[in-house]
Amino acid sequence: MAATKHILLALVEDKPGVLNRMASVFRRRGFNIQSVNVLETIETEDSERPGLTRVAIVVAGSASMVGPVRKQLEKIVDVVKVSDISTRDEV
Amino acid sequence: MKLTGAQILFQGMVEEGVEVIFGIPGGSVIPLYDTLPQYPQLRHVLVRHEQGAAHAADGYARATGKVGICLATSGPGATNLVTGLANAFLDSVPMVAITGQVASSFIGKDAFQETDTTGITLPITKHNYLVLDVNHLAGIIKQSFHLARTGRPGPVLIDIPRNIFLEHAEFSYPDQVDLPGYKPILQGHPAQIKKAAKLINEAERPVIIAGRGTIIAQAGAELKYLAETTQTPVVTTLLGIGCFPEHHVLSYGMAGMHGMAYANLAIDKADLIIAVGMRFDDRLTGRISGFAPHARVVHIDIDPAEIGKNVHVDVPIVGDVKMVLQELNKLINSTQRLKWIEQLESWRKEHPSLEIRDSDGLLPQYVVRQIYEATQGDAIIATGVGQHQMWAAQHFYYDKPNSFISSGGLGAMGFGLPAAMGAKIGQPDTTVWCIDGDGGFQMTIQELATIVQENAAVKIAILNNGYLGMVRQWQELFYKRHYVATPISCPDFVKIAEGYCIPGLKITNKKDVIPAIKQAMDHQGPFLIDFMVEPEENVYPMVPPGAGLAELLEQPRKKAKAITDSNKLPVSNI
Repeated sequence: MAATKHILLALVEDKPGVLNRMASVFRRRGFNIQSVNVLETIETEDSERPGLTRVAIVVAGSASMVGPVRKQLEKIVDVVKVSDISTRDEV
Repeated sequence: MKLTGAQILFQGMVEEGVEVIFGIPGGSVIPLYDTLPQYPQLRHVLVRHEQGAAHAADGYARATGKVGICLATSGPGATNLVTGLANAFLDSVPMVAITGQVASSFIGKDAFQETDTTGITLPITKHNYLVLDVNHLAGIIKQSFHLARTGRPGPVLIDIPRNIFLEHAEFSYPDQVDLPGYKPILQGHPAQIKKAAKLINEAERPVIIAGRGTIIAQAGAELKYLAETTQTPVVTTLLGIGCFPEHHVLSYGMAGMHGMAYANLAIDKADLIIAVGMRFDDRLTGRISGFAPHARVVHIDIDPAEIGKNVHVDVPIVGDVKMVLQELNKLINSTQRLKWIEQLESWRKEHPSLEIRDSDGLLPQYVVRQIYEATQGDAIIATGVGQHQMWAAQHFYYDKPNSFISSGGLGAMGFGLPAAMGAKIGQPDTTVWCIDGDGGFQMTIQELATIVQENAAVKIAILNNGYLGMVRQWQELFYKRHYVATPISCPDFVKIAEGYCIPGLKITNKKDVIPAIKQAMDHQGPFLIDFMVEPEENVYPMVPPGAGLAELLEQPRKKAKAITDSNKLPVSNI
């Protein structure tokens, strides 16, 4: 299957090590991450709680490879949600 | 109320119902151990190696359904836990591992006995924590137990710097966890369940493949109802053994690489696979392109990441196996499948996978069968990994969940003895046999001392063939009998046992097997029997690596003969 560019957009807890956990999922399968962007933290109303951050990861791979990776990213406890926004229609 | 970090940790364990901790002290956990006597309700089992602590906690967790606890110091203590954590992770065993860490101010400076424990264990734990503030400790403990035992269970590690044990914080144990990224789906989607019911009701040749998820969800009754109502044959994965009574008329035993021929043929000819709480491991599926070629697949599992990972699934249902089956069972029709069952029964007759060949020699299969006869199946069997593991899976009949405790996903030799010890400590009134090989037994043999110190009456049967037997079998069948590094010497295990004050027997003749097992069972404490079995006995049936499930080798009269011609086997995962 052809490798196409995928943009995975993740909503994660703003804690140390989250990026490491996410990167590990790609590394294990030998994926080369093309770019990573960590966006600004969204503060929660409860000041005791860590905020949430968006992480955008660009990788090249077939849909059958990126699909399972997306699910494994969502398994990470600190990761709230992951969407593959490359499959969305251009706005 | 202000408590120290050490007190908070133990108080949290008490709140979570912990009764036993398997551990070894070391520099960074001395303050923790110093506090332990304040909590007499926590029993500490002093193991002889941290791998033993993790495997014992694992065996304890599987035997009791509770969270197993292991405890180690920083550095080597933590790295020695790694095999046990990976084992629990792959087999979805609820465990909380506590590791000491160097003091916060030394972290990252290559201090004495410092390792990056959370970094090392990141891919082999369900989650892990490095505690940098004593005020966070209670919440982390709460979260760890919650993560370990809910959803798809797994090991959680808490790495705690030495100073945190000594610092004080106000203690109040939270009654809720707040994990926005962790929301296991329990209820199956009704539309998917409806679709699955339709497929089941319309199928002519359905097969249920049940895995450890069925045991974890305690869904044995629901599974039985599904199988009986729809007259669907049930096969299990290695770790699913015991989730469905093997004496049941619809039970066709274990499937997969060393599964029953009839179980594998059933999968091969099925028109519907109902996969329940399992993950299509390659040891179950054989060559993936040849797996259940005529079947549609319904897959019920709590872990969304398992759906469609290895096998194409027609109807995925993410949810708790028990809850999903309860809903599914409302929609299924009572069915007769005489033709299909007849077909399976004729395979069972044509391919008697459990027939033990005629021999005056001491066959390992015979030993396992005699342990079954002596216990009448009322025992927990813990195994290591290799040939003996497969014989123990095949030739003992398991009717109860959690009665077969084995390292499935990781395949970790050395699991047997510490796991048996953990199981016995968790279920002191149940007979526990450790069936192990002479190779694997030498990997964690030091836990004999723990068994004696803790008076854990584990019965040990070593199937001693003088080889790393499973590798030797592969060398015989696929590497032209090129026995490289598989002949292995061993000490006189009976003398070793004697050194640990454990009585033992060395058995070389078939006629002595039954009396020896009886003597072991009649003895109050631990007992070891070294069975000198046929050195080059092979495990059959066998689906060769890279072959499909139907291309299996059966017990040869003289030479291995394949059911179908499969001389040209593709390269596969070895």
